Amino acid sequence: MKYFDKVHPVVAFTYFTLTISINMFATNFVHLFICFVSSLILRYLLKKEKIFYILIYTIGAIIVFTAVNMIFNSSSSTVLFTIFGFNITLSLLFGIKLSFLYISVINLFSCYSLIITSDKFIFLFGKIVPSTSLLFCMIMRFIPLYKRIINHMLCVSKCIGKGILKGQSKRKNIKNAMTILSAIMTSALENSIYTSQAMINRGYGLSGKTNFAIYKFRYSDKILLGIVIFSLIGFTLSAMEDISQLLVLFLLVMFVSPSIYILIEEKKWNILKSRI
Amino acid sequence: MEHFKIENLSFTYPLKQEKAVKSLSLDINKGEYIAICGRSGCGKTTLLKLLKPILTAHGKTEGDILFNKENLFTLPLSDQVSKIGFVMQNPDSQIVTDKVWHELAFGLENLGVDQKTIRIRVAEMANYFGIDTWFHKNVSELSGGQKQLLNLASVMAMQPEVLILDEPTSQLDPIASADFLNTIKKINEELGTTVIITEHRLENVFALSNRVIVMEKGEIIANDIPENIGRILKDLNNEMFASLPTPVQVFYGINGDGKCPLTVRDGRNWLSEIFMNNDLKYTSLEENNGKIFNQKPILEIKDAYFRYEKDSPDILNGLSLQVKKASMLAIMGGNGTGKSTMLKAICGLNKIYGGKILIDGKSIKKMTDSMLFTNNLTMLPQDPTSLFMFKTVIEDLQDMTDNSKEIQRVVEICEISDLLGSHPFDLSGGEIQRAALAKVLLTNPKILLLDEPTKGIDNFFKDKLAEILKQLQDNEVTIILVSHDVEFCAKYADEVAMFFDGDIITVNTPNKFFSMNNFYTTAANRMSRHIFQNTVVTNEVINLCQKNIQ
Repeated sequence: MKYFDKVHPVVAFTYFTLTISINMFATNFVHLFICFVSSLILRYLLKKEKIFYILIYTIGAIIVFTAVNMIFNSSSSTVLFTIFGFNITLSLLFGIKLSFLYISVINLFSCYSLIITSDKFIFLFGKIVPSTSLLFCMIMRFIPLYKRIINHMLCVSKCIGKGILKGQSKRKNIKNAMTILSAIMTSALENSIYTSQAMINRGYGLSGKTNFAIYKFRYSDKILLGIVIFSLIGFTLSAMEDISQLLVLFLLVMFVSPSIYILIEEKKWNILKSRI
Repeated sequence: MEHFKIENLSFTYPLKQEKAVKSLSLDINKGEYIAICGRSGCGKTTLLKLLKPILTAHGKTEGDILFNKENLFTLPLSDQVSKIGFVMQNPDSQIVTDKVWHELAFGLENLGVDQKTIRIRVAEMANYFGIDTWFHKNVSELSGGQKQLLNLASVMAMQPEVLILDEPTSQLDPIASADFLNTIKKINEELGTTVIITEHRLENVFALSNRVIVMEKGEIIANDIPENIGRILKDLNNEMFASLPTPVQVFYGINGDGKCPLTVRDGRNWLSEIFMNNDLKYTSLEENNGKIFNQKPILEIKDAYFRYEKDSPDILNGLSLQVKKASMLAIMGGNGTGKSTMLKAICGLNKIYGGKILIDGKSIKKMTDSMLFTNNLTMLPQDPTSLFMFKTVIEDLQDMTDNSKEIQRVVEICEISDLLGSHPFDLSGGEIQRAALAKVLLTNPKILLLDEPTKGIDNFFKDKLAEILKQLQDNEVTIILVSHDVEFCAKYADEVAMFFDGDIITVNTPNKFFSMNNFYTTAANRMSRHIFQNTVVTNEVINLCQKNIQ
């Protein structure tokens, strides 16, 4: 989280859209395995969860996906080979492959939501859909605001014996809660008039609105974007020429580049820190 | 040079007969700092909004306003937006976006300023207003004072020539509002921006402004330099006189001559000058030990401990307190020290993890919510609007009880009979406070907790509120209030307590409490403590002065 969230939104967004779409359409076992491992590493580096937790979650997910596949996909029950007395069928392998796909997509999406925050999203799409992106940004402001207001209203009405009280009939509690809800709606509408005045006050609605962002395109962003695009080109060419070894190599480069970026930044920071 | 020239301006709200602003003429010069005051409903907000036509309410406008010698009503919209900055009252509802940096840039984005210029202006504003430390924060993490400062900064980012502020500090605590007003003064002095501000706490802006305008019923009744305002109001025998700063009130209270002192410092010097040659016959008031109350406490807190989360620090740290029946206890203390937390703990909203809270000798832990909050204990929150659930005040009161006699009684106590049909959101600060008090009183409380009851209320309403509270005390209601309002507590409380570091440090009568303190005391005391021993309230200072002069 520490380093990758400083990456320019365009770079991060390109990385996630490319990897997630490649991942979703990948069918090859080796390709999916690369996606699976690299997404796990990225998740670990970004979220810093405990390794034990990740292992439990991953193995559990593999077992569940495989079992579900074996139960519902009875058509390919041909035994391919046997290891230690276990019959390895096609549906088992297929299940494992599918679980790789699901887990890596889930991992990538959870990393995505961590990195591409609302303000970065607005920065990316503000020019294409200006009013929607502002709306989105205002909603992000309203969520914590109304959470606070609702809590406050519940406390306040409790103090005059009108809120949700212990030792009061359920019917009365529900009735009171509905009254509070309607009062919150009223005050929300009232506030929105006020907010709209504040927006007009600062010139909302004039023509030629620009979008401001505080993100800088650094040197490291250029390199990272270069690597991702280079490997995308390499990947596409080798797929067209059908050179599978090169294809795997380019895929690997593309998927692990942010993890390596994070590790390098971490190392760099540690060295810099030692000099302070 | 004139910045605004207002000629014969009138404004009528739709469906109203009476004009909200009545043929008003006024010149405002460039670089002036003008304070507009008046009781709520006198038309000052209406006037301010007329100065920025895109904010003007629906209604009929007559007369002319010239802005830089041009007609204001035909000024291009983008000029109007950028040249006239307007900061409103409520810090929360003015904020549009979710990030501090985005909020700063919002106005400039709308004006179509390019990326590079915005970057510079935003950086400039962040530096000037000291926002750089919380530049990347979400707006929901900010305090009230920070939010209002952000509102100011995001208006200033558009580099306005005029800054109009409509009661900007009414929702802030004294320290934050002093900070805010100092920033306004700094803008006025360093950038030459014209400032037009309305304030209900006149003592804050009186000494800062070049000119004070007093309005009543849509008309200007006084328009002069601050030094002369007191004389004009005194001659008119206007009730706004009671809102003037203490030194001014004392000066005209004993009919002083010469230059009227505006600040505590000037007031001190002026008092010393008067009594320079006289031997003072009276230097202290008669000892007043306050009312004697029934010794049995109605509310008792014993060693209460509370913290919000497991790892966070203690907010209540061994708090002990006894409140006597039918007394009025005022609790004072710094900002964010946990005074409101304490009130919530008494209500059982914050569950204490150690100690006991006893009401009439019974622990609140053993009471159900309905036992606790009917005929027993009740709290009036900081923003009284949140108490109202229905379309009219009367509906809200009827929701509390079916007993119309009871409603009649509280309506009379709180004097709100002419407000019953109004929508709660349409009422002014003082009116909504009284209506909320009426609603709270319908639970027939023995103990009434008030959280900042004087916030956003002008002095006239404060006196009225105090009258109501005294009447309640006569009916054996115990009142505990938490407040920053030193003058109010000094004037009306029976006992004053100091809250610090999670505990009550001292409890005393207002007179002893404030005359012992050096900083945390009333302006009257600070002004007169070098000659008188225990004067705390303005009237006491005037009394002693008069006695000595005779």
